[in-house]
Amino acid sequence: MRKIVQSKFDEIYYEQTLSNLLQVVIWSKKDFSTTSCVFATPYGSNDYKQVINDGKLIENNAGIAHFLEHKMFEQDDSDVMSDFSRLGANVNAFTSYNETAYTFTTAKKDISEPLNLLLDFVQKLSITQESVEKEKGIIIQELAMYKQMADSRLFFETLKNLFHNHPLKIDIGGDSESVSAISKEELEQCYKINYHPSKMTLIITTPCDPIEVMKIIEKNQNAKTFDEPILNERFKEEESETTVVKYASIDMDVAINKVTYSYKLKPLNCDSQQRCKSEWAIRFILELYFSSMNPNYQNWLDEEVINDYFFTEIDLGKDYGYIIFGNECEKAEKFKEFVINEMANLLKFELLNLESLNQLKKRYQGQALRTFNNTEDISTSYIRYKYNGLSIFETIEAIESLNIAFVKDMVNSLDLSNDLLFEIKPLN
Amino acid sequence: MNKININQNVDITILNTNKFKDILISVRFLNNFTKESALNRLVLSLMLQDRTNKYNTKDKFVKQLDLMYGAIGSVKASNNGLAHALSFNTKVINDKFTTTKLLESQFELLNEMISNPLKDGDLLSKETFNEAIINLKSMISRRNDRPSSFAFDKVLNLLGKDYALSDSALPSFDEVEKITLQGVTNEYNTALQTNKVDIIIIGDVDNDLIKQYTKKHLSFDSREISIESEYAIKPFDLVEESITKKIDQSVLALAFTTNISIGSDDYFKLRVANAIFGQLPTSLLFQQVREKNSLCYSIYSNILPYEASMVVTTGIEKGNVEKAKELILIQFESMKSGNFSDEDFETSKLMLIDSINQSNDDVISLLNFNYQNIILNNQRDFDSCISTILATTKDDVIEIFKQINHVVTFTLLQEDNT
Repeated sequence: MRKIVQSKFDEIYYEQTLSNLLQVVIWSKKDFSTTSCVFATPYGSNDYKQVINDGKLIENNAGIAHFLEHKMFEQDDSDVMSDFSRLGANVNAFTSYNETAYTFTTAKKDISEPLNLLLDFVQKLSITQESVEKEKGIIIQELAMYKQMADSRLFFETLKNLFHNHPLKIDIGGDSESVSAISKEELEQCYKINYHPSKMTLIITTPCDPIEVMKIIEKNQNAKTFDEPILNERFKEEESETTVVKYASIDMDVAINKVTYSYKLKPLNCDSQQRCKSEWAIRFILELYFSSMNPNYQNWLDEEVINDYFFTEIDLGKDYGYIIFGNECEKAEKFKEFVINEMANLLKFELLNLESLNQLKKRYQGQALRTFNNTEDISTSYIRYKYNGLSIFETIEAIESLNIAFVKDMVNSLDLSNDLLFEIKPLN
Repeated sequence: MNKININQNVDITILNTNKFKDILISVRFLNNFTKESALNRLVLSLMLQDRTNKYNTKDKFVKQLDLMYGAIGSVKASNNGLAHALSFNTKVINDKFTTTKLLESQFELLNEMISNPLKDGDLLSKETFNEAIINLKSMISRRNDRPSSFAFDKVLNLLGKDYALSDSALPSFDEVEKITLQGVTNEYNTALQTNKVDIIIIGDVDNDLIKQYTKKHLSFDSREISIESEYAIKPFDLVEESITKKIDQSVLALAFTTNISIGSDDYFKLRVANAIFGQLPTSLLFQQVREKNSLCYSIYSNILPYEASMVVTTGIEKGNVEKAKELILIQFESMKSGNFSDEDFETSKLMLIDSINQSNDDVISLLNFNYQNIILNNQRDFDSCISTILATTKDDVIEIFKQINHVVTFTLLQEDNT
């Protein structure tokens, strides 16, 4: 095991790649009682179309990764959730755009049983036609639940209208039509391609002895055989630089219009480190101009140009990019005008100086340190950062390395010509 | 845990631990609940959280937080049955991870937030008041927009109609219009002068330094106050109500009286019973309504600890509302007749104990648990909770459920063709 000591943060963790190529991380938290474990594959909702090693395109129904996550909890005649409960451990899972992760937490001193159970249930798919059909009702109710949450709907509908073909335009869970069409065979194929140990990462944040924990994992993995991995990559959709429309709206049972004004950005052609640094540069400048750091922010609130719902979001992925401004207001066009005007002010960089840059650096240094307060946050963040291309420590370094010239260059290079105004209107 | 009495009804509680990278200090003002006072305190919580006399604009306040390595400063108003807490919370990175000493600055910040708010003469600032009223109205709208929150508030209202519970949800717009700056200012003065004050500190701190800084920056005189918090909503004849909205999923909410509130010796037996009924994936509700009948994605039974009540909520297709209701009530009857397995019983106890042990690692759980003890004036610790859970028998669970009464069914229905 490779021991990594981050003395600045008073954190120690161990890394090892097993003979089956499973990557294992054991994060030592001796003062804690809780163990939090995450077993993840970089297979998310954006991967519903994949190209495998012989060049063959595998095109699945949208929402397949999320459906598979649900079905992993069924093992022959047993129910995995109940099995974990019987061990006094909480099991959970989540699917995002880029990953699927299975987690458990427990305060038990001996973690061998839940750890073996996690490894065993994720490394075996056991489903029947009947159980697949039964799950559809549950998932369709889950989708209905999110559909009537105005805030998540605002976000999903914005992405849907920003992207022509990129999988971000589809909800993580798919829709009732795509979920209804998912078959047992399709789930089995996805499992075979994406759950090979060579593609997965296991992180355990624990007070237990790392050497003993590694022994449990090695014993479990050495007893198993796996087929040869199938090489795969996400199918890259052709995506136009333009947004689908310039304006769109839907009606919902809300009291006031919820609005987003967004810029679709060209994907950056650079490595993960540069992409991460660029994203933080934009995040910093947006914070500086569109938050209470800006002395004008109070006037915007007083004049009701924005309200306390107002937010900005920046995401620079490997093959996409966007900035979203969100607000509650009756006149969407007026909000768009406000953002355009303030973006013009932003490009003058009057608020950007060494003092404001250092202020933001300190803020995020503190925020990053707080991640280490909680074993679950450590495990989940580790996976999130890893699949984004950089570790949490590399991300902190990238933030610390930001300077005024880089921020200016990055912001000046943005093409803001592809925009979208979207609103959720109250029902008549 | 260290408890230090400063003055009558002014206490410090210190939980020394080196688990966390930051230090949490929460200063809490506890008062007896009245609807008017709670509304004023809700507005206060919105007014006092992002400006002070010294940091008199949002940008100055946020700059101070950022210079303290992204310190967190917030104010929260919360109902605890018949008691109401106004809490000033700060979290600041421990000095050992920074180049500057921040502990005293944390006390100074709290003093600014609590004792030096923005003012216009004798009144609190009109500007912050107006902004708080706007934000409060937005909060109400947003909550009403969420079908699950709307249904939950509605069921609480029906359940607690003759009790403080019905007054504890967010106010109506008409009620907000009646809130005055004078009323809020009076409430602020009352809180500082007469409420029970608790200063709770969690982190790796030097207790002598804490005493010294508290004396210097957070000094409060003695005060006379007696606080009550828990009460039991009495059973009443079943009330059924439904409302129709244009939504994508119906919400079903059933309320029950339990006759056991948080301070009762039987409270952790009720927790075991609730875990078997509807809190866990192994629970009867989850297994029967979701797993066996695929009617919903989530279904939970939640205890209202201070009101001796319990609420079951789930989201379902309109056509399945009656079936889901029937299934929930069948599980309720199963609990009363002891129709649950020994395995489910033991599993629920195990899970509850694990969750209590995990609370030791979570700063907010530690804070809430310790403040709960303060409100209830009891000395519970995690070990005693675990002992009660371990000692709970199947018969205890059956007896507890026999005292539980179904009193409200509320349904938020999808309008046809939505």
